[in-house]
Amino acid sequence: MTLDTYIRPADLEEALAVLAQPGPKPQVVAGGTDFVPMTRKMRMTDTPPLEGPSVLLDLSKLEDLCGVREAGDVLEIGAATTMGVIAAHPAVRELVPVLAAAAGSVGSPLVRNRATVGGNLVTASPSADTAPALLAADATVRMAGAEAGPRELPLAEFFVDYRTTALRAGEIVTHVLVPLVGRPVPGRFEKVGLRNADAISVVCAACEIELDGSICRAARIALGAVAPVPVRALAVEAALRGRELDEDVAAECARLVHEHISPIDDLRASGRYRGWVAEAVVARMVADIAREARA
Amino acid sequence: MMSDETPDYKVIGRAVPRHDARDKVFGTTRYADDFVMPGTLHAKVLRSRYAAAKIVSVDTSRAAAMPGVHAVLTAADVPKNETTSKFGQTHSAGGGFEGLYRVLADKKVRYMGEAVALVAAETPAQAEEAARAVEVVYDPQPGVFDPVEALKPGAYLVGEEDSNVVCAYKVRKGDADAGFAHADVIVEREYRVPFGDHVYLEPESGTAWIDEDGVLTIRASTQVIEHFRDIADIMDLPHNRVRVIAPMLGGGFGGKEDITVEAYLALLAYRTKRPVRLTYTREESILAHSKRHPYVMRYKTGATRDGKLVAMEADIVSDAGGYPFLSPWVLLYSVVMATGPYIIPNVRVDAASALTNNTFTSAYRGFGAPQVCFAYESQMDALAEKLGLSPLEFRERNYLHTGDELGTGYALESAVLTDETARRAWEALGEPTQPRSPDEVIGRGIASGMQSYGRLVYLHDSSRAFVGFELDGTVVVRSGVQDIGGGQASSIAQISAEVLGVPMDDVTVYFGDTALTPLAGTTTATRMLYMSGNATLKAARAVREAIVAKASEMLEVDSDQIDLADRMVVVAGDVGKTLPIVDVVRACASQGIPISNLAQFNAPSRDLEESDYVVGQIHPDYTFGTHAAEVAVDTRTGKVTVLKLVASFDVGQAINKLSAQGQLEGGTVCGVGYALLEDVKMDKGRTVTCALDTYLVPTAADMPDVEAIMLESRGGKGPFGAKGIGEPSSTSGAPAVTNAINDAIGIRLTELPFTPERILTALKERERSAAPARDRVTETA
Amino acid sequence: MDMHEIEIQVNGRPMRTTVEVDETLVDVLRHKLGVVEVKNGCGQGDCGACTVLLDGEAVNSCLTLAVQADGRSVITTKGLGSAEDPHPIQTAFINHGAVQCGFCSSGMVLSAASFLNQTTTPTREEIREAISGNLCRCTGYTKIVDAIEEAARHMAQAEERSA
Repeated sequence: MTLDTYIRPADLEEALAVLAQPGPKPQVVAGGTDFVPMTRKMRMTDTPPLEGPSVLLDLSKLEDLCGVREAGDVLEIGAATTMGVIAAHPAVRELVPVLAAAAGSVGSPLVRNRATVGGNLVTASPSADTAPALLAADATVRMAGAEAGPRELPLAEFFVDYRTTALRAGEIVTHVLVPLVGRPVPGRFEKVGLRNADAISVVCAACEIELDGSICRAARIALGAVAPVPVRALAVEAALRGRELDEDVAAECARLVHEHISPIDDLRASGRYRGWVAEAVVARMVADIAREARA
Repeated sequence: MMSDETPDYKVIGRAVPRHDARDKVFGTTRYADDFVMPGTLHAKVLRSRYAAAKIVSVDTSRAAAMPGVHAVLTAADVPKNETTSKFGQTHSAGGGFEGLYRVLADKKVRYMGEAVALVAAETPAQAEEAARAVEVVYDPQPGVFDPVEALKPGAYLVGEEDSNVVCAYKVRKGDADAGFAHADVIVEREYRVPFGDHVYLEPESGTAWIDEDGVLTIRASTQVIEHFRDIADIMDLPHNRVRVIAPMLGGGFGGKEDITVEAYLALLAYRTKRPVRLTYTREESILAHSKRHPYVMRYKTGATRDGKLVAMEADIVSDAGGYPFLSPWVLLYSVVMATGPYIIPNVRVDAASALTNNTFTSAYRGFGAPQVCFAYESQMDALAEKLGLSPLEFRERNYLHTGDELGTGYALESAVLTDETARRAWEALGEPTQPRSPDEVIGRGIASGMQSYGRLVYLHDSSRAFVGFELDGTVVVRSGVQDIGGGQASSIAQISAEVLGVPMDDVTVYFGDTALTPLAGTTTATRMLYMSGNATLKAARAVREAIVAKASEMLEVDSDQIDLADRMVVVAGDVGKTLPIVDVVRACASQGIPISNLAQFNAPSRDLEESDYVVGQIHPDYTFGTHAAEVAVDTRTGKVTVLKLVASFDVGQAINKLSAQGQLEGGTVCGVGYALLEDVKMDKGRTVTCALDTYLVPTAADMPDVEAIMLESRGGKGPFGAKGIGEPSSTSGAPAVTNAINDAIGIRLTELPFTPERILTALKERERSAAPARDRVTETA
Repeated sequence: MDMHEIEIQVNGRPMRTTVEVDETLVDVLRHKLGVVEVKNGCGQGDCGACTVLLDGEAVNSCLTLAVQADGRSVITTKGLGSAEDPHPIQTAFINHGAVQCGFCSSGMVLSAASFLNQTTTPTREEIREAISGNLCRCTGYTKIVDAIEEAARHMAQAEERSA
């Protein structure tokens, strides 16, 4: 890193103006909970530090990008809203509980006071915890940049490849939008980590199921940490559609999750274990919703 | 045996807040990295990138010329790069208990992270850049990374000897083969335990400087200030011109028992004539400091149908890593305690420790006892199951008592209350928790352990303390105690306060300074309360005797009528006759009567015999206790939730009730980390889990409350009949949890940690096959 | 590299220094401002020893850049209370034996303070969750939870009295 200039814009307009300036694009930071450890690791390697941006653009606490509000038929979440705020927010807890649960599972309370939903999505780690929840909630990402006006993209199209998003140079995520029609929807979020706090997910998953009684009208099931990007388990969703849900149907359809995941061996877990758990967690979430629907 | 009467102590046994707790909470305590000295340079250690390699050349010229650099040192710059260290002890015991301490790698490197060069510069960034600029040419060697392989002929030789064997021990009692022939049930299994990191919250840190009298002074976070002798040796300085000071430590657990930063700081401060500071990053700490020994343990245990243990065999191989350090000591502890707290008439133990090119292993809380405890307590449950006895019942039929012999033939002298600790622990689990979902299974387990307190008797251990009154009636204690967080300094304040009849707040302890405080020995081996506590007790009693004698004269009563309490001399049966202690102090001072005393306490000692067989008394004494646990296992993910934890120990006499409970609670969680989470993974000597996001320790959200049950037999060898508990509390926690997991899933796993993946894999494998083929169990008619 | 002038309110006192863009708040507090009661245990947000209250919120100061704290307020344990005027949480820690080596304590009390400012009658489980970002290797957490529970009671009573 060769950062030598720090800019804290007063508002989104100023941030975009900085992004519009000619020359190398600035490094954007919000909570810093991914950025700071990354720079630390780079400094600690044997090789000399890389060439990089010289301007650090700080979006943390930028009012235009903070907060949760109902805006017509979407819940609009500022990209710089922290996990702590999202997890505790009454509207999120009532209308998109899978997101509240996911945000509340990130890191620790200390991390959650800084980490932002925008940062979580832009870092695009395969194990980002809010990603499966937002995918299951059918979220959209709004971006703005120097060159063009704001644009929106379904979250599923935002994750392009391993740690690679659809953001163009000079673009930032400004908001995450969750459609409000039909909410609240029965949903579950489950994170499997090696301990109960400050744990990177070994498997994380979320689902939302629109029900007619106990018949599945539509299902959205998403997983993290089991593929290069967070994924929707489309085959499972298709298999559930129109079915009367119970534990056996849940187990049967969950088996199809393997069509969408390619879990790797790493020092936290083997791909085989991740595969077992992915299937088990999906089956369990769906069965749980089914049980609740019958009660 | 339990003491019938509860002594009426003034402060001993009370839940007294520690004086150091205040400073720590209010943020005024200074740890090693908190001191500021003008002109301080910053040090950086260049470490080997290879686990096994020859060093072909080291060129420091480019580094030395860089901006801000004051010194770049290699092995050639160390006055005496190699010494035979006594590891802080004063007696040369022989037999491998002294060992090689090499400051900087010279012709070869033996583990990844071994120090090769040192840099001191004006800023940390300059020091780092200069370290990178040191040009080292390595000739990588194949290395060996498995201690069993390392023991085979033809293995890569890690050190300079023609074998990788560090040490080997044998224990023989009775006739194991004959014993097994009489057994009705035998269980034979292999157990494996991994490398562990201490993860003290405070990374290694220190500053060194030459003081105004030319004395080389090192202030460092260390458990052993008496390494000053080794530092003097390597610097070619007289012992009395090297001073080591230990401020309050942010944790030690054995990882700061060996020399860490002290030698590097000494060299750089001496060369630059400036103060030099070195603080490890967490990554560097995990990479470079000692680890807990991994063991492979093959255990074979036999019992008769009436539930009596009849024979035990253990073959143990430990991984010493790149250098021996305390490996011989640790392995000796293991073989002495390999039978556990049980009567076993026929015992055969064979153990060896081998060098490998993994990170060197040395002291870690428990010092060889936790490893074997995991093995023997797993065996006990497996045997209990085959015999149709409950885990508690089976153990109760076999526990050692006072007067019974260990496998080494040593008969236990002090109180042994293991059965009561076990009954209380099991009882404290209460009603079984019901599964909270269909995916959950619940299990319970107990594990009993034994752990020594006090050093090996071969080391001729001793400790000293100075206790004295000031002229205003306040009390000073001076002792070279290293306070690693267990209240080591506070305990001797409490003992002095008790004996001299003053409030604890009237006592100030000066500790941890080789120049100014009488040497107390190491803060290791659960020895501080026993050793410095006894030394302090002796010194305080001597002072008390003088005060009481003078008071008796002044009040004209017999000495045995006199007590000291609340800063007053009081007379039994005569409320009117009283005198402030300070008046007596001043009278003594005026009349040439000493109001202070320097005392020494010597532990039992023995000389080492030339033999591979370990026989007789090895430690001063042992502490016995039992852990109990209840767990829930999620059968779909293998994740374990610990629901209940109990730690039940005979502590002899709790000196500070809160501290004693705190040791039991903290030690328990240490054991749970060992059981479930902690694993320093190494790949051909390269530490893979190099930071705290990959080497995982328990958070508050992973633990339930620990219920601490303290029995007080007053039958220990420490002051007031205390026993040491710092390490015993951490020895049996892991097998209590793993036995509970085994109980929950109905499968006996044998490798720590019991990760969710290992548990789920075992469950899946059982689904696939009819019965586990994991242990060979023979039942004879 | 450009140096940036920053001003941080530390325990109510303005403190000024110059920093590089990539310097962390913990390093600047400890090495430039002499605020050494804030500890550095791991440098990457995994241990919580570096906890401070930044504009009232408990955060890892090792994950916060010093420049990001410019113009903001930082509270350390010294700002929470002192021997002369202790905070109930500090008193409870001392009285319950919740301090052994103490290296986690100066951060732990701040996580507790931040939590108890939002919750008056926490369960033990909630307390554990609240301090799950602060590692302790000595105590096993039980007495820390005891202390925070008592401090909560004490603070609730004090509030009742002043209401």
